[in-house]
Amino acid sequence: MSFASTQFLAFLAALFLLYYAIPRRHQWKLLLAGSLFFYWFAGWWCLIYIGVTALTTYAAARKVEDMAQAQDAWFQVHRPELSKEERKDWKARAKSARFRWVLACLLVNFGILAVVKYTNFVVGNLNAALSAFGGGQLPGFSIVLPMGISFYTFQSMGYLFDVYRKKCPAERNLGKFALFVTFFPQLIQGPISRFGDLSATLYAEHSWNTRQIAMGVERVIWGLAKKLIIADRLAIPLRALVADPDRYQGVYVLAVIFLYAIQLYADFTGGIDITIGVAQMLGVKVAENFQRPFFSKNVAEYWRRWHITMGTWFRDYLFYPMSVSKPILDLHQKCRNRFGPFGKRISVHVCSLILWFATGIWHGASWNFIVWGMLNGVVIIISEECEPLYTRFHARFPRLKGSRGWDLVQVLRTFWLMGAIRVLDVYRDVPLTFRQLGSVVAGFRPQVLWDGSFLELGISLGDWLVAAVGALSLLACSLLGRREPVRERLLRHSPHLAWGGCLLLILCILIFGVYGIGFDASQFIYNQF
Amino acid sequence: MKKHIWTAVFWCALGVTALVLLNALFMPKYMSDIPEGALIAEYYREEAGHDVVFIGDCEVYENFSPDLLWREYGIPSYIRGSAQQLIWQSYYLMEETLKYETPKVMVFNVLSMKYGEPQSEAYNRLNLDGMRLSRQKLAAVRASMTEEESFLSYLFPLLRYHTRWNELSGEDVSYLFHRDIVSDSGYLMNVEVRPAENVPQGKPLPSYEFAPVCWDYLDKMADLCQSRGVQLVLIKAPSLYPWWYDQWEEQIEDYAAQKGLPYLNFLEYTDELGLDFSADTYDSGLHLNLYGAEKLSRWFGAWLTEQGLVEDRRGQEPYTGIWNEKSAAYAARKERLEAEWRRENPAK
Amino acid sequence: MKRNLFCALLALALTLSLAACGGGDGNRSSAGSSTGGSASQSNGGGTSSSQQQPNAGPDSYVFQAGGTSVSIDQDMSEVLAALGEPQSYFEAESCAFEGLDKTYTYSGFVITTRPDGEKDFVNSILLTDDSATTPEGIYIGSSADDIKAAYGEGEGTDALMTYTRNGTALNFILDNGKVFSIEYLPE
Repeated sequence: MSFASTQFLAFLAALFLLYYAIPRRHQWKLLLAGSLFFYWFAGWWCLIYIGVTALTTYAAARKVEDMAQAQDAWFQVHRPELSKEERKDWKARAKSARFRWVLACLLVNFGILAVVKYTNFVVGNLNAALSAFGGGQLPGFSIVLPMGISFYTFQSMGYLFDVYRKKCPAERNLGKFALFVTFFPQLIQGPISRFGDLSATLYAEHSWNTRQIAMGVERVIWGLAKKLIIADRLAIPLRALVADPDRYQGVYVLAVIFLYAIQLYADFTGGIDITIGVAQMLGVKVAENFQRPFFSKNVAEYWRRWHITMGTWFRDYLFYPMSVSKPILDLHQKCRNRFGPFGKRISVHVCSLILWFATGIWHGASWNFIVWGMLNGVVIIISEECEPLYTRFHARFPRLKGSRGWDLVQVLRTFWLMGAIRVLDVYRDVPLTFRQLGSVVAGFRPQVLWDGSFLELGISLGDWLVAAVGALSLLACSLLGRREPVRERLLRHSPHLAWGGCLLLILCILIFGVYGIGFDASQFIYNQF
Repeated sequence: MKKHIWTAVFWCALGVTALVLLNALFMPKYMSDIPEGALIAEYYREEAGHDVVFIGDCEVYENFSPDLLWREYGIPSYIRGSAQQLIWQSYYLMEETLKYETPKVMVFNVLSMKYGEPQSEAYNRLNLDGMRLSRQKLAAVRASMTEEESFLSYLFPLLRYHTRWNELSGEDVSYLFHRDIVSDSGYLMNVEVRPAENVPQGKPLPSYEFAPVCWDYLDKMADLCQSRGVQLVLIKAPSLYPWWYDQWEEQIEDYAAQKGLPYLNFLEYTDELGLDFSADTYDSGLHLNLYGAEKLSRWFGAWLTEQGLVEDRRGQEPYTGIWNEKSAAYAARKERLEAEWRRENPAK
Repeated sequence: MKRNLFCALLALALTLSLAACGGGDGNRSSAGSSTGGSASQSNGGGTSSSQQQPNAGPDSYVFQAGGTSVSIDQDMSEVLAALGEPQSYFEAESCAFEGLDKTYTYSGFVITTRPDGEKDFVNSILLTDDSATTPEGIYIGSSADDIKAAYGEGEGTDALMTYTRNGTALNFILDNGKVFSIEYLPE
């Protein structure tokens, strides 16, 4: 079920009404049943994958917590008998005994992820290498990716780490834990929730709260509008631009960068709005995943504001542990001794690159994503290394820093830089992407912007206007909502404003939304009516 | 609390009103363009019953003139035809028609036997949108939908036609709640003349068997008519194209004989009808023009009368009053269209 | 309590309607756009999902007439320029909608077109007698074995053998083991 489908809306409405009709102590069970149904809808076999993840993580977390309790109890009793050295040694051994279970569970779950997501990528690369040496070919596998596997695997493993580090208690009720893993609003595209954050409201009993529910519904409508009016509309010309890269070079590549930024933003944040809104309707609080990312002034800031839960996951569960791991500490020591102050930063940069490699490959099994991730890392490292230059620059022009104009320059620079890197998503392969980006400089023909060429990309002038008005409205709402969300403001002024806004938005979705047979990709251009 | 509820009620009512208005606004009006789309709905504006109801595709609504059947034989008739009407659509239209009236004769054109599955969304819309909401309409929608269509969009056409926001015109506003009559009792008049030349032969088919589902619906039609005491007449209109294969003809002949139904293949009667395909068709043999349709109707009216299936109702009320009006409209339309055609083609 | 019952009934009705309107709207609505940041499925946003190509692939079955190749989905004006005026021409207006399906009859074969925008594109090529052969040497009157020798094992039955390649289907209709119709069609 896609969020923007009638099935999903009907499913949601039924679940929602039942949720507030049944006794409150059963509410979480209904959510679990609904989530399993939602998942089953994507293919019953998906339930096997997510079932394995839920069961192994549940068991491992319990085991780890039981061991920790037993260890603590033993330690309390025997503490006086042990010397300081022995205590330290015992603690290390206890920790590694627990870690063995964590590791086993990690291997199983990341193993599944690796097999279903990366087998074909690895086989493809091996085959390319083999054929270069005149060797034979390995057979490929056709495995359909279970829905949301990257998200629920990461969410479950984050939980396991948290239990291992005693940041949160292990969930003792298998049903409740299964709900944490399968909670349907966040199954398709995240966010990646922390157990500590989500469990507080996920299992609680919720009574009818008109204000919360209204806020949730509003957010769902807002998300649908973003997706259906803006994202899906811009997807049409984007597809045309990307499908024929030889023809669409130069200025068109700038257009791809710009349009894809808007399209992806509208699509992804729209989906997250629906997720958070749906959860809010059910009384569950899901973490925010975006914070006006396109207003970021540099790449590092951008990544603190875009897909936040993924960024923090990699930071907390990969970057930090890696930074204090023995090999990295050794490297740090060696580099410092050898290269002085610059050497001190080498180990951090190495960790950064590993982090961005992982982030890249998490997004998808292709070189495009790996290169995309590494480029992000490289840009961040370069900007860190150039810090002294910036300091000197600002010392020379002290009035620049903090001025509005300079802020704008930085925001635009970050937007276009990230956009240029991001188009690795859309082009077929890495060399093609760089060729296209190169053509911006080599084959710059600005006249296509106004000679009507953009009207031949599958949508009409009216559609471009709708998309433009939509995108500007997003921008306006982002600007207006910096201090207080726009809908809160409306509600504060008058409930009529909030109602009117909602109705208007619904009608706009119905009329301007890209859905139904009239927008069937191939039909669209040759629509008979 | 009470205030909140009234606010909610007010805005919900406003929303529903807006949706109803938008539905009406976005629905194609079929007034100046594609009048075929307006045919099905016009039936509901009929004031009196009919003795003969034609059901089928363009081969009925372009080829028969109810007005002539009235003027020359006193037969009140109506054509429930629509473009590329598929056999299940015909069946459900038949069923629906029988809710409103019980004619003496129902005439079905068998060309649609060749289509065993849903064809195109565009034609489905022309056939189904005009139907009033009824069990028959829902069943027809279910039977007709192509894979990419959605059932819901037949209940709320806005879900289908919202893409028209770009092309709304004055017509959409002026015909928000009413329509002009585009047909003469379901007949879509055309007075143009384009001789039939070079009509290609049908190309060989791997199989000439009609699809089982088509036979099922033909059976259902026969059963339905029998149970309601209506005489079902099968016809094949004298259109030269699409090609009507001998193998198809045999199957229909056998079926009609077996069921005891009259079957008239007008392709075999062109001489008797007096049809001249250099003058009596407006699109090179696909459809008859007005003159051809009148010839065909004259013959068919005589046949219906001879068979004793109908009576002459001239002089009976309310028929006379209604049909006098209809005839006047028919004559006026004929005059207007002929003048237009002469103006555009002075040589002819 | 009453409110609860009402909610439950409504929920039941909605669940039923959910089952009833499968294939609902908006299914395809996301128009190939993925979830971006989650872009885990193949590629992101606008993505490389190929657009419908105006012409059948380069490798498809192509008919040859006097040194001119004619392929499905080719622009008919190109064909007319190469082959000249046909022996006879027929056009059929589709009911209700604009646009003419056109039939061009040449000696030995018939080409039909479908309208798409301003242009007409080849929609079928039918070989009508044994004066025309496919480039692979099959003509009306060839045997099923000849076809298999020329095209390999195809799909179909004794009465209809079909070969498809890159958007073009080549159909042979047989009667008593002999070809009596050869037609190129869009797949």
